[in-house]
Amino acid sequence: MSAAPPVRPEMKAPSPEKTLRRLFLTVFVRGQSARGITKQTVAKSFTQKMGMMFLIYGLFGLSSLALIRQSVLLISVSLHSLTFLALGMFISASAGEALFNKEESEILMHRPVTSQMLLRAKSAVLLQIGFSVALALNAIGFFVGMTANDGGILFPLVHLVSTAEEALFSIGAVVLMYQLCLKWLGRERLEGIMTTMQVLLIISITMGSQILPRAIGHGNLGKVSLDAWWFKVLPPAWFASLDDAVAGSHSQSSWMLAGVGVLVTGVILWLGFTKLAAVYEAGMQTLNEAAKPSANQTRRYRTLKVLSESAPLSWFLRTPVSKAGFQLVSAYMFRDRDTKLRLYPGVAPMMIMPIMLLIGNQGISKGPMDSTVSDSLGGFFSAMSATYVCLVPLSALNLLKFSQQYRASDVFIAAPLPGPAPLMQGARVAVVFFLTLPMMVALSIFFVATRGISSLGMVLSGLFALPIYAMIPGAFENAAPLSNPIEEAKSLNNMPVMMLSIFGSIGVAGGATLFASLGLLPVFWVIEAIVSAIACVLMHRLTLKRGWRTYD
Amino acid sequence: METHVYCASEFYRMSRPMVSLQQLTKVFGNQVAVDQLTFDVPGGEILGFLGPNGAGKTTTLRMLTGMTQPSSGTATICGFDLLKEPLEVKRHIGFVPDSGAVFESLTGLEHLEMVAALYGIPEKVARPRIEQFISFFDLSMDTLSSKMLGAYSKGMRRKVVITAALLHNPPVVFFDEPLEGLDANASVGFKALIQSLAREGKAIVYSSHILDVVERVCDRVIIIDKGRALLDGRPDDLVAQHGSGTLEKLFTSVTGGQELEQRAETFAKTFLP
Repeated sequence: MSAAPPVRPEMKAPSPEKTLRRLFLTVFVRGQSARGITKQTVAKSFTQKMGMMFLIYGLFGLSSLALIRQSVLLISVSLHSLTFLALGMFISASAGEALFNKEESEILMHRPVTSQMLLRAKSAVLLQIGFSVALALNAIGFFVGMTANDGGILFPLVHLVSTAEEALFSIGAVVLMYQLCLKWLGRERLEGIMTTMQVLLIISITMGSQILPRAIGHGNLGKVSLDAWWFKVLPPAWFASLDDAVAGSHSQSSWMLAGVGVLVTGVILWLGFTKLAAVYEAGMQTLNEAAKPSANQTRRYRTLKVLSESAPLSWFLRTPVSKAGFQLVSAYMFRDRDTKLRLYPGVAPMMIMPIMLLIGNQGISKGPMDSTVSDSLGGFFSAMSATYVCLVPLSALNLLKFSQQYRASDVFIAAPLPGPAPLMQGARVAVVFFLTLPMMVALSIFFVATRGISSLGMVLSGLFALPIYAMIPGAFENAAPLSNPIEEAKSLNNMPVMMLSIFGSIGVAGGATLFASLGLLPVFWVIEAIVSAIACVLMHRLTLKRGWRTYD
Repeated sequence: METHVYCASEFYRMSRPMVSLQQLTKVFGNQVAVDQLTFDVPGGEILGFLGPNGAGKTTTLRMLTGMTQPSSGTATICGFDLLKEPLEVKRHIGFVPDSGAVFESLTGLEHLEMVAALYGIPEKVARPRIEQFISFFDLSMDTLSSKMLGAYSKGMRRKVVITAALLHNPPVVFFDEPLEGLDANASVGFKALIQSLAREGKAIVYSSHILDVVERVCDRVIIIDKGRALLDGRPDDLVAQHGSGTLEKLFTSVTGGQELEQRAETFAKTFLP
């Protein structure tokens, strides 16, 4: 080869940080792997993906129309609560994968870039996307804020600033939380920490976003008070106070709370991106250190084998392939970092929502409304909390379709199997046994403890619907476990199925409530059991007809 | 933006070791993966770094490239301390990891331009360098600029990874199983390439299990097992000293692989599918 052309001083290269930002944005948009796509098809799919995302978030933002002519503070609290939930969900779901990606560390860790550069570039991309999500969500809210009864002309401008501050706070808080856990608990526990942190974050964000509107709703609408102690500790309140201070009441307490928001955001960013940035490097290096399976993990795998071969699981796992499917999926549920990071945060809202529904139910039954109406509503929310748990297998099986090691699924296709049906059966049993049934049991205990043994009837109506939801992923699409690239998990293909399933669970809850109010709940169970059995047989046939998915 | 151009022959002329390990050790939990490894690699030398699976080769290379923190000991690359000046070390090395990881959702050209930018190489300079490698590896610019890396064959992907390691003209290059996936012609070309790189004065550390290639290409070999260096010398000298005939036989004799042939024969006779 001839000598390489020299680099002359007048030639300029983009800075490494700019290069990294561009890289991470491209990878985020296109996905980590790209089996079968070309550069030409990427632009179209990107525009479609982003367009769909903005449309959906924009539609959620329509709810702010209900706040027309309210006070700046009330409008802003509602908007920031919704934004905090959306941002929190987005960042929690993306941060683990974006911050700690093994393949990426293999490509970049030996290049002349520091871990701080990597952290800043990744966070900048998360901020860019997160802020876009927030803007889409607040698009209507900017105009609603201008109709506020105590000012509002400056609202769009200051709300833009406070939303940016909220996005910075959310990113900084997630980064800082990872770093603190790495520092205090050690990098050896990185994988466990990442999963636990994401689950806790999503649970607290879901609870926080539910509690704030409820607290406002149970109070006097339009008279949100900054004096309540709980209001002062909720981050959305800090950002809403900035809007109120500049474009609303201009009160001293608003200015003070806005100041708290700016201060806390500043401290979090300083700690996360300067003071504790070195901890991130330790986390990145851990990814390259192949850990030996612990004695516990080996024991757990043996236990899985014994479980799959003993009753009652063996009744549902009749073939060696379905047993192997069960063992494989269960092992990934407990061991694989990538799987755990998507699965548990993904189902966490479904674990907490039934409890939130029951708490709401208690509020309603004590409310000042007609006792028949409140009983019916109370019964509906009880049934709804049970049917909501049924969404867990549907959601979990959809998440378990994806894996960073999806290429290993070639071993299924190479095996003499007509299709993925027995593997899907194994995956279904694993999800129902390890995730759904424990949640059902916990919910039943909660029901008995708070409403007596008779309330278990509502749990039963959820239990009868469970097999239908567990069969959906295999029947209507190829849900062979761990066999699809993870970037497909970001697509919105599953959204219609999920929405229909939620409506279905509302229908079941409504039916159970209606029959219960007529004293005919056992009749509902019989009808539900028959419908469930027929649907399962039909969906089982559809599943058996499915072949393997092939890639171009 | 500071740009970096390296003249490997300067280090060579100064005859200082370009890679120097001092008691380099890595411990995972209670398992010692690399045990007080000490050796030097001068410029212009191709060092074959050999060992059975799990001997500690990849861990050593990962430590030398700043991907894994050593538990104790240190190393210098072109005079820069691995622990004190990690960024300088990284500027002076090229690394082809055994995983061959790439960003699958970038095109080959996007990936290479991104790597060039990380080393401060402007696009105007990077493009002709990339074109040189493209023509050397017989790749098509059309494929490189339109197809995502996820759609490349294993061999094409490996060629992109090798190009990415050499694009900034580093004075020290680490190769971990570089021939994996390359066809016969590309392998022959690659062997000629690393020999010409060594003649330019670069220090090359070459880790591989293909021992006949190592025997033909490398000036010197180090065989490690359980993290410790067992043998260090010129391949011809080592083979002659131990009277083993070939490097492969020498390797199996020092790493306990002699009984493998016997075991394979027994297995074939007793294996009942």
